[in-house]
Amino acid sequence: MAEKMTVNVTREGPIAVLEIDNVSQRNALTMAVKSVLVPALKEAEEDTGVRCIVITGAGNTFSAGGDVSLFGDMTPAKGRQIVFDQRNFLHLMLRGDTPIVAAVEGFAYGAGFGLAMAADYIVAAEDAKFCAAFNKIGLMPDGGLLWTLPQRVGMGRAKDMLMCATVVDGVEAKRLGIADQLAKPNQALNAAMDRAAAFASAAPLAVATIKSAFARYPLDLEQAFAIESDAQPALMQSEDAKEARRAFFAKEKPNFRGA
Amino acid sequence: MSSSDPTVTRENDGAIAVLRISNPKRRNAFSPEVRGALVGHMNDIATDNAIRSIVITGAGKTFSAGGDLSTMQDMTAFEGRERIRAGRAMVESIWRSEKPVVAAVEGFAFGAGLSLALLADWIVAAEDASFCASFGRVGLMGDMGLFWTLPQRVSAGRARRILMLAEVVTAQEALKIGLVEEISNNGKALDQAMAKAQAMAEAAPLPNRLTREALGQFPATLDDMLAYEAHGQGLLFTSADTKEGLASFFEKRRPVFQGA
Repeated sequence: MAEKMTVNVTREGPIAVLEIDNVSQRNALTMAVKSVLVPALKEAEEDTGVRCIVITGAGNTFSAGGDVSLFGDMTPAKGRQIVFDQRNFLHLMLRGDTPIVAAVEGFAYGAGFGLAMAADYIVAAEDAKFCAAFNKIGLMPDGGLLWTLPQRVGMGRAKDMLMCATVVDGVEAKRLGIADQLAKPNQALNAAMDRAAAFASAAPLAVATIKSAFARYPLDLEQAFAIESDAQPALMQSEDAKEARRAFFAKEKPNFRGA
Repeated sequence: MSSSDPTVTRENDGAIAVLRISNPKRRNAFSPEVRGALVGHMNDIATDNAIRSIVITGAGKTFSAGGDLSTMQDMTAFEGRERIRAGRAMVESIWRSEKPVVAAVEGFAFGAGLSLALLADWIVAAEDASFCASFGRVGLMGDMGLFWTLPQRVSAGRARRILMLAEVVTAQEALKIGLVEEISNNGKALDQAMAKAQAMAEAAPLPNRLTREALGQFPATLDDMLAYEAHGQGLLFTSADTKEGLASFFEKRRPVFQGA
């Protein structure tokens, strides 16, 4: 039997669900997983029929992090390249056009925590556990956490999580702003699908523009104005903006097509 | 020097250096002597390999009531400029420190006292602690990095209220808005700060030096941070501490990090 170590991709209407399925290693982001995750993300991102991507993990856990078995035999150049290559999925997630919802049960540790934080909206089960576990094996945070985490929590909390590898459960994560929504245990994916439906029905060009602006953070005031004045005129001329104006006056829900 | 002269004392507790601001006549106000002593200690600690984390607190029952107004009388503009430049040296001695800093706040953290607390990585506040950017009350603006540190902890709206209205923030409110990270019973801020400093001292020092340096550059772009993590991680992978961390992980025991 071929070794099962993959990412399961399913489609529910305009929502693509990417489920990391490497349960024997608690969904560790191994080379094999990344080799499937990156093209799956790219394909979903490029499919204009996909209006929202949900990322989750099989077997009631999100992802326990990097592939620790690789770390023992490393050179600086090799280590640097492995970490550098994570931008293959981080750029797709953070600079892509399609909104991404993470559904987190169980562990979101290390690079798995980084993966969750690169989503636009995070649903956490109450008993989910978030931890930048890197320090426990003498490493610094990667997976974009130096950039993503301080945008979600204050610098004090960010430093504690990144420097002391403090574990934060789902309830605390919601309070701190690490998660945007709390779900009962085993219900994170259901809740994420509901939220994904809301993202999927939002005007796609506007959503893509907003994602693009956030990806350029930090912005100073001049840059923010430049983005507005460059992008808004095009959006005003879009079919979707016309449809929204029609629906507004007809008191109907608009039907956006991303055009 | 008498015991009532403004100064900063240092005691070591294992791998933790405890710096205590002492200016008892003026509620630990931030005089030039206090500032100079603090920079001196930070410089000593920087090269003291036995020290892994730092706690800053105030002697007696208060943190610091702020700048020492008695030393600001009849100051010329250029004397004021020199004072701010000296303040910058103090800000950088803490902000650029490669060792994590915890602040233990009882009583007042007002004016420059608030600025000092906000330079810490983690702030423990006693229940009756209060925080205020009191600068405006004497016709001044916030200084000692407050315009940079405060918005990293609280929202833009709250930062405006704190800086422009000099609102006094209680400890409970401070916890709620992210101004501080932890609350203690009265008189217990230092104990809890020591516990957090101990956790920081036991963490692997090399990755935290890099992490602190990276976060100290905020705000930063995504690609700057991705480049930073790749360069840093590449170096760390081959460190003795990563070998120890991996060994302890597979042996299911606590790691002992050497900072090598």
